[in-house]
Amino acid sequence: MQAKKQGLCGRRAASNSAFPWGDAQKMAGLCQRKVRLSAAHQLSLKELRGIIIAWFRGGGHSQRPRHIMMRIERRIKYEGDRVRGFAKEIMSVSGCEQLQSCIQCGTCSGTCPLSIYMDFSPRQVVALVRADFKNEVLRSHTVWLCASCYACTVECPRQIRITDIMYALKQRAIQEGIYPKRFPIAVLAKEFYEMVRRQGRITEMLLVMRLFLKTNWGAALGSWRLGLGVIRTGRFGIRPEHIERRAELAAMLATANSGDGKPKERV
Amino acid sequence: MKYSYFPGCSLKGLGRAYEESLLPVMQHLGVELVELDDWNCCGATAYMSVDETKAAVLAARNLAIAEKAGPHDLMAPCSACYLVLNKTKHNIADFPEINAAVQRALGNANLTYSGNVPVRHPLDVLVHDVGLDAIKEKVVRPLKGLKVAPYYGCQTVRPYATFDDAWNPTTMDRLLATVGAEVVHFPLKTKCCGGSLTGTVPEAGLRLTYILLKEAVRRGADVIATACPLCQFNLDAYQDQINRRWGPARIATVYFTQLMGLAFGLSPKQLGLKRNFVPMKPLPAEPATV
Repeated sequence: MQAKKQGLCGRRAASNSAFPWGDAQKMAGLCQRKVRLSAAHQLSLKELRGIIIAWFRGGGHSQRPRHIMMRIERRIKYEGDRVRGFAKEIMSVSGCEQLQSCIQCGTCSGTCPLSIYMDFSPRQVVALVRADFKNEVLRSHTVWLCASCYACTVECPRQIRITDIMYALKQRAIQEGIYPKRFPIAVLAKEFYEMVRRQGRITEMLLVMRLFLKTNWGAALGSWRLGLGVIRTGRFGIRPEHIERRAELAAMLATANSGDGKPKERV
Repeated sequence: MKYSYFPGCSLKGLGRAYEESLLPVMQHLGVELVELDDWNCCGATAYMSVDETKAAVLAARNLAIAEKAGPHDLMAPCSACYLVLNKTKHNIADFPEINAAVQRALGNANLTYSGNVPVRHPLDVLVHDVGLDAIKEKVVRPLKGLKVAPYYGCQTVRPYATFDDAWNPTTMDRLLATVGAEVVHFPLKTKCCGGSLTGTVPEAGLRLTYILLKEAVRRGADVIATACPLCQFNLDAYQDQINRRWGPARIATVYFTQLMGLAFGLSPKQLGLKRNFVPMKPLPAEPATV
């Protein structure tokens, strides 16, 4: 064990002396230009130069510091990655109070029709939320893949409203802008919200058009057959639907969040 | 019998065949529906993803208008509307902070809501208020020989519905059997159709729809009956895309009200059956009665 440790330290010391400009991870962040050597390895120009210099200095392939070729990713989290208070924040949302009583049985993941597509299963999301791993949860696909079928909520033996937790997470991901810019599910939610705010009602075809406009024009062109079908079956309508008393609704929504300390954000 | 009626955006848009069949069927049964004055969007699933308090206020406006309209139950045929209105009702009753925000917002519009508006689904009303016997009396063209897979979807029965079971509901089964159809055993009756994911993440959403279509075909159904405009659109409109990806699974999907209308002798055109992507085959010939 001792020898192994020494060996490791020894190699690191050697590599540091050969490369005074820093370690590979740091450089990957600093250098924008990358050279693609193979499918597995991406090197910055500086790293490449370092390897060539090392080749001449050290006089051979055996001296090449291999750690520079690897892009490492830490899978296990440090305690410092947590965002203190996140679990408390979620539990303060109406309907999410039961979070803490989860027994990690996995019934939610088993009943979820979409868990096979998720990066974290619903059970893991509950565990992560409870342990304050805010960034991991808000960046996961899971919250967006939830189709609100309420299977988990109905089945949970601890009466945790998992669907409502997913909503609370979606709201925070949208508020903090943590989702890919053209990610259609989040864009759909925002466009829906805007249309209701302005008109009071949804005109489905206009909503779909706005979604395509904001995400992917190509997909719109690819869906021409579907569009024609909607017209053929007489279901197409782009006359904007709206309520009569729009001002009344606007006044109601404007005051909905005042007085409870939350900022009145416009999404 | 008189009910306030909350159509929702879908029944005025892509799901207009649901309204076109629901209204004459209810009229035929002597149920009076009064459309809610100046109703607004319930918020569905999308609005709740953005702001929870505003979602409650949005839905509560409809409840308040319904309360003002009179002491009638509020009928919401669309699954999402039914769920959201019920959810808001529960949340207002259970959480003082939501109630406070809702009351403050309603006050700005001179509206009040005291919590006395039962939100009902047409399946609930038909089976429990109108009654299967009264429905049977009106049948003039029994759907003999028509094999129907009853598909309820998620949000009709989960999680707030009290009129039926969350996993194995039977109201639609009984209703369709009453009008003479042969109801096939369909264990996926409450499995999710993919919802809005069919449009946003087709790889996952369409696959869920495909599973339902394939199972209905495998069970020998002639037609799938639904109670939700989004389920109907998913199961009906994407079949060519689904068939290209995973193989043939072609079957018509109609609203349960359309089948009831046919049994009452209403014309297919009047019931909006021409609005299907995959048309329903003509009813099997009536067996000669001796």
